[in-house]
Parts: sequence; structure tokens; C-alpha cells
Amino acid sequence: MKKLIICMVAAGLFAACEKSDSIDNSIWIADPDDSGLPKYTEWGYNTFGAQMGTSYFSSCWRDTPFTMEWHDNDSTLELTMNGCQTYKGRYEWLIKEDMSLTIIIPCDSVIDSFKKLYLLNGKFFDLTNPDIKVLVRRDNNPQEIVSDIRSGNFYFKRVQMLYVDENFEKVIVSGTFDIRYVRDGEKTWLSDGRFDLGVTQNLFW
Amino acid sequence: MKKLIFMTAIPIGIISSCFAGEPHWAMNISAGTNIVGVTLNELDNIRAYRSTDEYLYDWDPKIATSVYLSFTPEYYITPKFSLSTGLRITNTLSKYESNYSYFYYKYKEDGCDTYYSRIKSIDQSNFYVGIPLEFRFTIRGTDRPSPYIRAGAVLNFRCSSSTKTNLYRNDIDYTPDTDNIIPTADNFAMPVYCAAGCQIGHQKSFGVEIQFPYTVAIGSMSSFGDTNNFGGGIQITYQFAKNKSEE
Repeated sequence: MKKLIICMVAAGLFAACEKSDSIDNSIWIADPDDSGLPKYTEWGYNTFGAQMGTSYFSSCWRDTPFTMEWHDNDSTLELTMNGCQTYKGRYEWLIKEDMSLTIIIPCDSVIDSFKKLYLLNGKFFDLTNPDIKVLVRRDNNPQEIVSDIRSGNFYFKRVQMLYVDENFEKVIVSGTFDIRYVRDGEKTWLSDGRFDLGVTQNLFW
Repeated sequence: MKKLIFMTAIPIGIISSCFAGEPHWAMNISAGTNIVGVTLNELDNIRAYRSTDEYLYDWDPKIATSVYLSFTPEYYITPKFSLSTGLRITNTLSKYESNYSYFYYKYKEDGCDTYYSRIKSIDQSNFYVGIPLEFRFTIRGTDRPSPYIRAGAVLNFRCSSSTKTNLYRNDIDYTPDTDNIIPTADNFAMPVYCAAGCQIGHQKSFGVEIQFPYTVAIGSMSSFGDTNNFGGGIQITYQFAKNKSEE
């Protein structure tokens, strides 16, 4: 009898719990034209992806796949996208290796807070600019500076200050990118790249 | 040969018995309720909460519920076959909600500022005036409970709609404007249905029927999606001013 009562109380407590939809989760909405990429969105779904030859560089369903950092000494903004290289197996997507892409861009304005990211709205950066640094890290290897960039761009298509129930919540940064470079004599590219990130205080250093 | 005679005689017997008796009129007042499933459409201003492989909009199955009142004269061509038409007023209720506590609804954009509201549900009510057209076949017309089958359709014209947004937080001093963003239901919709019922009481004045299947064949009676799934309903009818001849 006691066990039955305990079970009923536990069931009631579980039933009374509210299920909340966290706005910080990573939500992967597949691109209808290419399921290896996330659809371009501006909802702060915390996803990114780009074609990389026959495989893909993507956020791999991680809830916090990026960080941003402001460097006071040289007024640069560093965006690191942490993901993995994936490829389509016979029945499912397979991970080849961890991979991260870091872009360090000089900014005319001081962006020392995530609340100032709106200054990037509509900004387009040519990655062949020598003042812009691109770094790639694969698996546990050290970061490599990409030195021979043949073409590339990083576009902050839209930056939104998000308010939920009239309270400021986060900054949504969405855009596109692509880069073509040569590494150890091998031509490599990240094309048709897109990102949709929700930046909070914790993710901005 | 015996089989041929048997297979020919039965339908001839049924058809000829249907035409016995004189035509007459009756007047029906009916009240009923229908339920039909709603296949939700994606709405541009609702934030997804699950990834594509977890079913993008994995809402619980949704239904639209209608209640109606009909005034329909019925013409008995024979004691077994009858046609009816008239006037029906219908109110359809449908609800948009997540199977989580709330969903995010983007209700305003102002330059770089974007505003979401956490919403528990959006309730919608659509009011229709319609013209039903029904055919009834009474299986037994003698003075005892008379079972019948009916097929019908209603030409519904939407007269008005109202939408109510239920916020997750009641202490917020604003109401997001959903009227301009939630699409309106179709102005014209035509439910079709089959029904089986029984007339009871003195002179079989009362009728009770179950409607199945019930579906909205043309248009949708909900703003949130398509109502062309199968559903069902129940109806009670009072029939008066009968002057029929019994079979």
C-alpha cells in the first residue's frame, strides 16, 4: 500500500512539472536542398554549416557551438565556431573529426560587450584582407593559420537584439560565409556556409 | 438460374418497396457537434523547438470542434427516401499550442530589435452560416424505432472570426497582436459526412445519429491548418409538423 501511494505521488509530481522549451538549445532544421547543412534561419538556433568538398563542416548538434571574444589591444573580434566534419554514411551522418574555424576581424567600433554586436548588422568582410585572420583546428591538433586564402567572405547578414516578454534575452547573429584556401598544396574550401547563433553573456568573452 | 432470379429479385423488391406511400413534408430542428483533426501548417512567426529529425512541428494531434444548430425542411419523396436543406449556423473552435508549456511567437520587429512572446496557446473561433443538403434513406418506416442512414454536405460561409492569445506570463502588460499574422480561416468550407441514426418516440419525432466519417472536403475551418482529416460527430433532431402516411 505504501509503495502504491509513493508511486502515485511521484506520478503526480511528474505530471505537475512544466515542460519548458529552452531558447538556448541547438535546433537543427535541415536545408531542404541539402540535408547536410542547416537551413539558413534567423531564429538563433545555434547552428552553422558549410560544404567542404564531399563532406560538411557543421555544428554537429552541440548546444553551444561557438564563442566570441573581444580583443582590446588590437580592436579585433574573434568568432570561433566549434563543430565537426561530417559525411553521409549509408544510413546516417557520420563524424570524421572535430573541427573548429576561427575568424579574427578588425572592427572600427568597440564591441566590448555582446550587447554591442548590433554594430555588425549588415557588415561584410572580405577574408582576403590581410588584417583578417582565419584559423582552422582539426581534432586535437594545434590551430593553424590559414595563410593562402584565394577568396572568401564573412557576412553578418542580420544581427538582432532579442526581447522575450519585453525583457532583453540575447543577441541573434545570422549570416553566411565561404572561403577558398590552399593548405599544404591542397585546395580546400568551405562553401555555402551559414550560421545562426544566439549570443549571451556566457558566450561572449 | 436460381441464383440469377435471387440476385435480381432482391434489389427489385427493395426499390419497389421504397416507392410505396405518398410524398410529404416535415420540419427538422437539429443540434449537433463534430470533431475533425487539424493538420497544422508551419507559421512563419512560430519558433521551432525541435530539430528536423525529431519532427519539426511535433505538436500533439490537434482537433477542431464544431457545434451547430440547423433548421431544415425535409421532403419525403417516398416514406424511405427524403431530401432536406435549410439553414445551419456553426461555430468552430480550434487551438494552436505546443506540447511544451509554451512556444515562442515573434510578434514584432523594429530595426535590429526583435520581440518574442511566450504563448501557451492561441484559441480561434470561426462562425459560419451554411446551407446543408442531405439525403436520407430510412431502413424501416414502420411505427417503431426507425433506423436510417444519411449522407450530406454543408455549404458554409464564414461570417466572423475571433482569436484569443493566452500568454505564458499573466503579469505582462501587453498583448501581442496575432490578428494580423495568424491567417484567417477560409471564407468558404464544405464539410461532407455520412451518418447512421434512429428515429424514436411518438410518430418518430426524435432522432439521434452518429456521423462518421466527417471531413471538410473543400476549404478549411481552422486558420492553423487543414481540416481534411477524418472525424465524426453526433446530432439530435426534433421533427415536427409531420403529415406522413405510414408504410
